[in-house]
Amino acid sequence: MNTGPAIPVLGTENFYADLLAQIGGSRVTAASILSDPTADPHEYEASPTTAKVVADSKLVIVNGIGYDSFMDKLLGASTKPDRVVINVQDILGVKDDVNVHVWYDPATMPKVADAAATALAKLDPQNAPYFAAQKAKYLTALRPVSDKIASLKSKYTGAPIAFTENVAGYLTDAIGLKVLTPLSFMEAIESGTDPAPADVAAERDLITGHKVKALLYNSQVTSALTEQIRDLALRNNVPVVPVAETIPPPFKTFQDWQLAQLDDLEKALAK
Amino acid sequence: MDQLLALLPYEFVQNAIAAGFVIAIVSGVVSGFVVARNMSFAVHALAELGFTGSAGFLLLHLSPVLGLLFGSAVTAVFIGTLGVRERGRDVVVGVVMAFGLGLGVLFITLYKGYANQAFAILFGTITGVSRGDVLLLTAIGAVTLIALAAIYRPLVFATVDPEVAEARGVPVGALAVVFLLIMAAAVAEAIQVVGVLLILTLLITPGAAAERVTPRPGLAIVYSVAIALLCTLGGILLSLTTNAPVSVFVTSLSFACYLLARFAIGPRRRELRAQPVRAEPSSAVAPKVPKAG
Repeated sequence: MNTGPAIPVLGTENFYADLLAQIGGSRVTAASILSDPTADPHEYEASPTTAKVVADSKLVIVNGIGYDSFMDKLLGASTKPDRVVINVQDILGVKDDVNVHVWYDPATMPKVADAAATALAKLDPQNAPYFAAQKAKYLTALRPVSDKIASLKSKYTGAPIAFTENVAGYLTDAIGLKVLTPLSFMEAIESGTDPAPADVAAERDLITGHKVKALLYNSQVTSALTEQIRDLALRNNVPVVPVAETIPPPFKTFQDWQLAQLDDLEKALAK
Repeated sequence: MDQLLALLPYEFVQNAIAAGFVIAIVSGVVSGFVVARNMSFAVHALAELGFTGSAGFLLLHLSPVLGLLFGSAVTAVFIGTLGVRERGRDVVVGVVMAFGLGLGVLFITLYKGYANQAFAILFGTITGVSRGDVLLLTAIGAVTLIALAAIYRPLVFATVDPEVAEARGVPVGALAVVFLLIMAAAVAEAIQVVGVLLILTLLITPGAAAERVTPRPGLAIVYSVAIALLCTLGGILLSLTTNAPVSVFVTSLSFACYLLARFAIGPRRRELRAQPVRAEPSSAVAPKVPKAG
């Protein structure tokens, strides 16, 4: 491997930074902006240090779909013709009105890994074989996750569950779980407005009537209402599976985090 | 200090300083009138209802930025036509703002995408200003200042003594609407650059501090601009050396200016004026007003 100064790269959300760190290996220093899970992305005021990280990075991954729209501004404030920006929304070719948590789709991260390896090889052509090998390692590490999804699918397709917010929707779709929570309830929680009383009643009935096998609960962005729903589930012995938006401590990699959440989900569904 | 020197060559730092300079001048001038006309609450409403506009435009698949301008402008017209008199204007602002925010919640509920884009418009970051933003800000700022200059004399008259101004044929109501539209342009443009927090600070506090230092409207505007410049540029430089967000320092500095003006400089000036030796006070209170008609 040819050495030289490490390439500064930035994954806006910590799971993209983790991907860059895994694929770039010793050739990159990966930074991320949204790693504090409780930080609300849209209320974010970038400090000069953050803006400097953006300005210095040679490769940047953004999620798009409005999740990290502040990055448009930060990137626009520091024009740099040779900087490579990977926009995951563009890679997936999806519109603005889809569920924003696309990294929960098992098909997403392999595509981002491809794009990242290609971009790194362009920035540092001499180490292209190294990046290709690192990407293969990343994909191998993802395999237990897809295996687990397949095994859950064979056992629990059609099992009814409830959400507080549509964070893991792509994942539960892949497993074939049936989300009974009204769509309008999840949308209201996500956009921070009041859900309609009828929707709240419907969500509570799912739990008190034991019509769902588990409640998937956004453990990072909570409100009084979502906490009430969680407590209702605990009181009614409906298993609660916390799901996070970004990699929460103590997990270090995307794969470990996803696998741990799937294990929790399996335990809940097996009850 | 080392860090400051290391950061200064960055494009985003230069853009932030340029944008801060332009916004401070415009805000300083507009702020003098906001305070003299008792319109702080209206500033708040214009900023908040920009959100309703951007949510509505998002729903129609139009630019949320234009929606912000539209929301602020419509709010300006409503407040201007319903609340011409200073008495009761706060009530009108409250009524319009409550309805507008309710409408915004409805738009967000109807919108199927990741609606946080509408909120995002209210949270600008001065470290995220592009060259294009600086040019746009400068253009809007110039238009705002030219419009203000065009109506300056009647506006001062209508602000200092609305009854007499009206009796002398000054179109007080039309002026109120025009001034609100100028405010709306200033708010809507600067808000996505510096965010709702800094807008409130810059459009209210400098004028409030300046008013404590001098009763002359013209001089108050000069002081107000100076205070806004000091707070904005000082805030950016302090943020560069310490890494805390810019808004923390701009709001703290302007609050300090206000306290200083109110409790240290203001009272002393008033005492000076209270001495009956000089004839200045009477002429200062009634500024050189245009011979209307």
